[in-house]
Amino acid sequence: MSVVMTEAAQDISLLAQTLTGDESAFTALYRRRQSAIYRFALQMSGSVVVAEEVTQDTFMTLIHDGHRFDASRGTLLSFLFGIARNLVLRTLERDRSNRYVALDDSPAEHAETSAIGPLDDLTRRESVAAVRRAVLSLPETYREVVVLCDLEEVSYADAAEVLGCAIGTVRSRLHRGRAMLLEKLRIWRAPVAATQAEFGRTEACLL
Amino acid sequence: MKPPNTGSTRMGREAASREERGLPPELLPPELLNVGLDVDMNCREFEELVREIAVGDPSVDPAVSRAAAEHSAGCAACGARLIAEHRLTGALRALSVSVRTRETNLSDAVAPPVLAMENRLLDAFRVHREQTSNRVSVAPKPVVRKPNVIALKPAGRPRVFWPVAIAAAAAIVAIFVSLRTETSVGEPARPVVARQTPPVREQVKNPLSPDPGSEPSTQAAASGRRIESLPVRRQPAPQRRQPQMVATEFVPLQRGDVMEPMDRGQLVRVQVPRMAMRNAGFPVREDRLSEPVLADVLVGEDGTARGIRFVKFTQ
Repeated sequence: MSVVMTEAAQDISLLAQTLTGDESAFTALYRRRQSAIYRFALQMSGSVVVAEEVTQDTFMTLIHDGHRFDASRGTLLSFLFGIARNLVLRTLERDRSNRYVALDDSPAEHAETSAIGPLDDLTRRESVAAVRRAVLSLPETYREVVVLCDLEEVSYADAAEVLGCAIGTVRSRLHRGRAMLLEKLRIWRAPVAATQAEFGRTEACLL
Repeated sequence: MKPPNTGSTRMGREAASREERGLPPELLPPELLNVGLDVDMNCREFEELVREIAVGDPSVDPAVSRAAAEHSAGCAACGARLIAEHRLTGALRALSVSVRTRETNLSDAVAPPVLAMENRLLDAFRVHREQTSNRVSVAPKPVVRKPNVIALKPAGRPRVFWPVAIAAAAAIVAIFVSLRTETSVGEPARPVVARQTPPVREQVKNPLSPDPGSEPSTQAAASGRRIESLPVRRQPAPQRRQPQMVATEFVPLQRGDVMEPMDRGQLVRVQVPRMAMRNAGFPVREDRLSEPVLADVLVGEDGTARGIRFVKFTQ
């Protein structure tokens, strides 16, 4: 926690120097945070081009609108994630044809076609590709919480700040998003059947 | 260490514990928040916490984790649910590591665009810093409203408007000067202008530098010239006081390209030879090609000249 606080404080210090025109401070801030922003944009869009564009525009916005950052409302990384999120959603809205969705040639639905489950019968690389496609096929509302909380390991509080919603909303969306991933990846059904057969039970326990 | 569970402070401790976890109160039953107590967990409570348990969220109390483990061991559905969540968590972590590792492994391939992006951003940073310092020293008020415009800018455009606009204007003036110099040799209209101007120059010189040693007759003659010349010199002044601008339509300067619509731009007034009018499609007499004409150049935010119109002031 103290490490996180220190990093957040360093971010704020670098931003303050950046706003006074310190070029080295801006460079340091960019090098500290650009990879996280890039990964977020990449996982959200599935496009390297969009990810680069969003990353650049995020820091361009920081150059011009950095004074709008309010440290009392969250960390600078959350602020940057929020900018990147708006840019990604704007880009996805512009390209509603989903030409950025699939990283590979095969569509996202292919992740659901395996009877046993892609994590059982595919190699690790193929499994990762299947998971990536499944994440990209999520509705944006659920995709962004999965990307933030599960892939970027952002806390509920920071994710709530990025998304502009309550922590409970983040949790419920994450719960729903993960359930959709389980369905898409066929992870859920096979273990249930196997476990039920193993224990000889026909129904789950109730409340 | 948590304080012991006493009835008088239980609600306060529960609220504090929920706050520490970052969890909404309605999602956690109070009995799950008491550390050091045996906790019974039902399927609904397990379902609400299964993600945190699967990812090993450190904010979950150890007692809750133990209760979840005990519950999943005794409940087939929740046990399978936990296994599935573990596998999903592993798959998502593999994806996360894959993206991070790919960045690392392909650092050579990734480095050029990253560095290029950094350089572009630094250029934009320097331009913004100069603009901000200029704005603060000359006109502080626009500093407040400028960021709103910036936020709506098209993607990936560095703000290089003013330097490019100034450079464009300077280039146009330089072209004009060079063309004027080249075309002045052998220009047929030039002697006519030269013949008209010497008397005016002479008349202007005399009032400003009167010769004290000149004879009265010469001074009278000179004063006679001055009387004639003064109205000649003053004639243009009333014309400038009430000018009427006549301008052509804007002519696009990038005919071959599809130009993006522009939200903002700047008009830069320059003097160009009339040859530019001919190049823009306007008829110009041969003997006036080297004469200057005023022009308004429309410069976009990206610094490119979008269009030009030619201006003339008449009474």
